[in-house]
Amino acid sequence: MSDARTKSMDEALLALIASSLTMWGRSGSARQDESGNIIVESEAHVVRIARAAPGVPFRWSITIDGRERVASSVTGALRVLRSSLDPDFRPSRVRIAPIEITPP
Amino acid sequence: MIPVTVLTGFLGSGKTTLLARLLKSPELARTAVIINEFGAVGIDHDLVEAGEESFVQLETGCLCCTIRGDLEATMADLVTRRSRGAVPAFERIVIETSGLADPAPILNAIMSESARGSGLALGAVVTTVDAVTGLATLSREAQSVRQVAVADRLILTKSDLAEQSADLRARLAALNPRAELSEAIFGEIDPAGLLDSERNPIRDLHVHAHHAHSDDIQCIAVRRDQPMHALTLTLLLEALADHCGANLLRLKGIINIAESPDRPAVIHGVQHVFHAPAWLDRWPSTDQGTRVVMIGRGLSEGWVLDLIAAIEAEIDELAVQQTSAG
Repeated sequence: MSDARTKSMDEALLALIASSLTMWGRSGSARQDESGNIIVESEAHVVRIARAAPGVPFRWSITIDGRERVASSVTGALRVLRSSLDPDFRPSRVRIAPIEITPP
Repeated sequence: MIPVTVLTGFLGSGKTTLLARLLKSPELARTAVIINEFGAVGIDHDLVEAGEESFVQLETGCLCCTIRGDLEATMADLVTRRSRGAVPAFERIVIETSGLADPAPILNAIMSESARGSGLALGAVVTTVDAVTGLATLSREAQSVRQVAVADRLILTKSDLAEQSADLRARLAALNPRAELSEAIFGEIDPAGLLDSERNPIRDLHVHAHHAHSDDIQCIAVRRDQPMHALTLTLLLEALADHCGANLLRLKGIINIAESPDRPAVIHGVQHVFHAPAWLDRWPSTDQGTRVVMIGRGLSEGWVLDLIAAIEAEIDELAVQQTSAG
């Protein structure tokens, strides 16, 4: 994994979490710690978002107040994050089928 | 695909009068009509002359709540009878909602039918607004605000009776700046405009720099000049369904997909239901940027752009990892 790509991903995720907190009406902030993990502190909750270890079938490990959950994509991580911060959040049960890569 | 146009508008705003006039024009001769009246005794169907076989009245409930299933079954039945030749080969369906209807569940029902491969597609949403009482109605009735907010075309009715409608026009522009506004006097309006809405659902997808905020319903426009991966679009729609859900009254967009640079994808969504993207044969103009218009509550243009950027970054990162591993 190139450092440039990693930095780009981290920056993008940090920006997304910051704007998500605002959109969800949650106070708090997100920062990157010295290990490269993203730490979200919001209304008495502390959430750590870390890349999963190589070789496991998911990409993100999300530790919420000491409990670990996993996600396979950044959108999955966002869903887990909101579920942990917003007790009224009800994620959609609808799942969108992948669209065809090229037109039919 | 057979377009399904939704004709909505608050009680007494002139929907039935407008529909009756429109159906007399040759351009709309091949139209199947579904009318929903709220109440035990319906009279609207008596005011509209349409072919008996392709005319359906749904009553004793409102389309958006108690008889939504009936609407889906009715549309499916119309299509089946059309394919069997039991009804004339109509070219479009017009649904006149009850004046109290929330249009979002109705659009949902149409999109659900479309997703089932029925051959139907959401056409235009046409909303009538009474030039005399419209301003007061918008202040008092939340449902009328929703009817205006999701419209492709707004039709000001009874404008021959109203001395001054500048305030109403300003209110409509604030609620839905992208809708085309026209006037109908005694129900007279050019049917060609209505057909144009059906054929070119993305014609008015211009992105404006300003946001419209009114009655806590927003219309936001997102523009992105770089193409996005097809997978990004899938994940984006999933995240929109997750995080915007019921607050998303309507979404429409034209997307520049990296894997299909010459053929853009068109997306439609209502609440957490999204059409399978349709592929245009070519870009409709020289503007080949991604443009998405969203109407609803609690939406954020910045959040959508950050979401797209994060998804794209993850896909890029995965591609680099796979290249390194390979």
